[in-house]
Amino acid sequence: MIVLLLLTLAIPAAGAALLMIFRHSMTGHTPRWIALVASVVTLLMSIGLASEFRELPPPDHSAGVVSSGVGSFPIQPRFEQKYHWFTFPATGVSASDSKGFQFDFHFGLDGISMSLIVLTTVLTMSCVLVSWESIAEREAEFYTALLALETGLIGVFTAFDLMLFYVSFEFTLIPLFFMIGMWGGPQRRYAAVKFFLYTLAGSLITLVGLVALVLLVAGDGLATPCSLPDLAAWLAANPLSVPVQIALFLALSAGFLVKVPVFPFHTWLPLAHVEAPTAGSVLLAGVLLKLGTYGFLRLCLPMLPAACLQVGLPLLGSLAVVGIIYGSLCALAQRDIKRLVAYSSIAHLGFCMLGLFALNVVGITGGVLQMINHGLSTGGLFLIVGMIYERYHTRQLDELGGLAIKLPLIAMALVFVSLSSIGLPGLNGFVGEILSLAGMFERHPLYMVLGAIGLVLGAWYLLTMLQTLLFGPLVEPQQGEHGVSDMNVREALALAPIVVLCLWIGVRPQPLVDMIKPDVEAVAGLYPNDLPAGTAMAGQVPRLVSD
Amino acid sequence: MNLAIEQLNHAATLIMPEIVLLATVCVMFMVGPFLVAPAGQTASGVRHRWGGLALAALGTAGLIWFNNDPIPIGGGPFTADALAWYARGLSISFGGLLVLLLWNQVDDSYAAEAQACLLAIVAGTNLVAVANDLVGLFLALELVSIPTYVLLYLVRRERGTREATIKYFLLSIFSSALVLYGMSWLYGATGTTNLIGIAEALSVEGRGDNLIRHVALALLVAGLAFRITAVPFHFYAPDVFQGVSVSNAAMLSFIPKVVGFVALVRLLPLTGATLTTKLWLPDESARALLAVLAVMTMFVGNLMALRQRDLFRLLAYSSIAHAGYMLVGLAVGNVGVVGGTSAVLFYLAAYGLMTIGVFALLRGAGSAEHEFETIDELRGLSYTHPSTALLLAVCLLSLTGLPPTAGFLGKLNLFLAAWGETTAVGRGLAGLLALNAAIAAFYYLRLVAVMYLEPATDRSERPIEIVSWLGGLACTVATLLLFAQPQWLWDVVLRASG
Repeated sequence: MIVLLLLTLAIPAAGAALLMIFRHSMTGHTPRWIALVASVVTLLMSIGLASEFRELPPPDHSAGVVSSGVGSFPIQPRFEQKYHWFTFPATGVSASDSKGFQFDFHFGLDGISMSLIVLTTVLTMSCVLVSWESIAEREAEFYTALLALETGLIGVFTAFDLMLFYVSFEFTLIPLFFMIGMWGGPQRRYAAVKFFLYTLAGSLITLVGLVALVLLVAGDGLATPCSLPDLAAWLAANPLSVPVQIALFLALSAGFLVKVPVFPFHTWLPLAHVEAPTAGSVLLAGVLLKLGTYGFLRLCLPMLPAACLQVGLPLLGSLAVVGIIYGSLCALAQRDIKRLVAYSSIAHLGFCMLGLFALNVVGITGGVLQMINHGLSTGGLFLIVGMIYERYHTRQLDELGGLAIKLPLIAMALVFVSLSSIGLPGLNGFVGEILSLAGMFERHPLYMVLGAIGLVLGAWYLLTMLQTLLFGPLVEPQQGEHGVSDMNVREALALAPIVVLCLWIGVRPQPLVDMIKPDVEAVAGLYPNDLPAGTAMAGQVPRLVSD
Repeated sequence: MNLAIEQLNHAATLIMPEIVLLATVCVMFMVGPFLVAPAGQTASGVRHRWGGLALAALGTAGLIWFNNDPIPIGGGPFTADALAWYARGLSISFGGLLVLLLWNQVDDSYAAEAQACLLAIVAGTNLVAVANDLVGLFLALELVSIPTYVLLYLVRRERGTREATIKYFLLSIFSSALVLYGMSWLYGATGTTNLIGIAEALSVEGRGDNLIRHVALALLVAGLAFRITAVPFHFYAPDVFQGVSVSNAAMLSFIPKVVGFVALVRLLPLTGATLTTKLWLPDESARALLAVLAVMTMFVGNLMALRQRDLFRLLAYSSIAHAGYMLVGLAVGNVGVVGGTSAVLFYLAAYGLMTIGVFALLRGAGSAEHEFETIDELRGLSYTHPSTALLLAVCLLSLTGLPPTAGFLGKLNLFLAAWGETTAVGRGLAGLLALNAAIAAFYYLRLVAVMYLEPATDRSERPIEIVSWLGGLACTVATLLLFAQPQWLWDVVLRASG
């Protein structure tokens, strides 16, 4: 298993290194073939990993709570492997004065990270395919950045160690900076620099928070304060005082708030999305934004329960609601399709945050599903927008219309993915949104009601876009443009896995829910339910579809 | 009589690496002129021999250094303790890199003298770490300074260099006087120049008058602040970095910092009446002084760097900012799990790799006739010199403090040290350090952006200068490897600060 896991990490890294070293000796389009092979192999590895993962026994966290009474284990990777990195030995006059602690490369997998890894590998492959012809300049460098980004993202999801997590989290900035800055639109330099500095500033505050947390816990005697499972179990057994938790929560959140992005820290996002090349947008929306929500889920929720209840819920609940409505209204006002999709991301991640901060099983399940669903459907939207842009070199709704006549396949795919994004029952978006809102309803009905407005708005802006873009009289930048062909095989292959997954999760979400269920329950176990037991769905994952 | 000879012999064994270096210096100075014809001409390619000789001398010194384990601090004029061991390792290994930078930058006819000066500087740096006596320490500091004056002017002789050298010379003399004055206060308070004697005398109740101790501390810090380019003693740095050759700028960005910080680590605990930095915590006034110095240095360095158009002025301000980061480690003392002094010493090594890497790569890609001057000349470097641009980007990201580079670990250690100190001062410094790291990202990123995101405008042919370039490659690779395997360095550093 560890071999597969390390291969999943190593193959894109090796691909990137290969491309970087031999970029001069490659002729023609060798780089994109190498990238395709690397990404497909990584995808296969991750699927193999997932199938092995499903064989693993689920963690027995309930036993820990009941029998030993030492506390719960909010983070329990079902598989883990540690490599020693470095140790700070104990110093000081007496042994009790200051205890040493160590940093490890601690790789692991649980249901949440496993599903996100598969999402990453699927989207990366689509990215390679969609960049096939649109990236003509400095091909080797482009695919190097793409594969390096994939490595960093998989690194974040396999990290069960604070430092490895942070290192990968920061590392992802570098390849994406180059992707936006070198292959982006006209304002690419400004967009890239803004994206980089904004997120870096946020994550430096997170680093201070991490350092404070590590030192605090190490001072109390935990020898491995960086290991997420150990840290979470330790903090569950010895909770920090509430003011300390709140301070740490705010510091840790800083980087994640920017990354998600939660209103009002979202200003870098539309710009970065619009300027990024299609592959950059897909990975940015599909996976990178999830690093923020994943950070909340991995660090804030399990470690700082009191702060999440007292500060996180009101603060992020209200910001998420504002983000949903604001993002939707902004999307409604856009005439640039890519910008529209970018703003819709802000709204959709608002649902995700609502779900996570519902702090119960239903909500967190919804939040995690929403992370995956948004990755698929928004990733798909960006792919299709990229295809349209490649054909017409414009993304303005005013210059395009009635494309369904000319590009029926693309139009069909766009309708499908938009409906999934809107949350049509039977497609994936529905499951995540409804569970997020249901969870929030149990925790705090007001946020749920306000958030639900976003569902209506979401349908409004996406359907308006579909109507203008696809139906009605044909409008093209140059009337009667020739040489515009419909979706080709390559593009179909790029979209196919996304469409299949959208449909599959929509119809049969149960396998996915089962996969993440133990981990979600472990986190949610930290939070008492407000409702008396037995009512509604509290405390258990609903069976969505009877088997 | 026999006793005196025995003592002398014993002292000599402690400084064998330096004796080797200085003997080579003498050979170079004496033989060098005979290879130059009266008209100033010399056979081309002589510089390769002198460079090779310098490397051989450093290699020999390095072997001797590596085969002698540190011994606990003793009473003689020299001490080869763990701190000295670490500082020697730094200066000898980075000295080798500097020899590579200087290799092709100096004319054949001056190569002997230039390499000899560099070796003398390395020997002086070693002696600063080894000195166990105020007089020895001062002489060692001068052994660093005086060859520096010569070296700065020897390599590149233009109007700007002349100005830079004079400026460096005058301010350096001034700082030496400050250090000497501070030492005289310590001598006055204790009646001895031996460091152990001073520590013992000051620890006796009543002997160490607080006022005298504080004046000595302030003067020593002020004098050494010149070397580490701490604000407000930094004014020379931008002009000098701009005026001197790239190899000398690289040397100035690193060697004086090693000298300054090692001397501070030696001397500061004395004013707190302890001999080693183990468990050293600066008292209120020392902490206030160092903290203020650190904050000013970080902010001035970073904010001024934002405004620079000249590449080397920018790097000078960056070097100032990094001195500020390291002062943070010094200000918080050495008490937590991650000691401040240990973090500083770790940072020195990481900083050396990344800063010398940047200079070496800039030198490697800029031809002898046309060195890089402004940021704009880096435009499109990723098109014209893709490998150099990549390595340079790694070094710059390391200076920014991004993973996966040694720069990240250096900053992480400083964060851990500052926050772990648990007082408001330490935590405030950690916060300001984070803020400054964010500001610094802006100008480092601008350099990366210029190289990668802008088309090349300067089409002039720039052949790669391979010797410096290899030095830069070594630095970059080491930066990445140090990130993956930091434990050994951390162990060495802990021993040095314990």
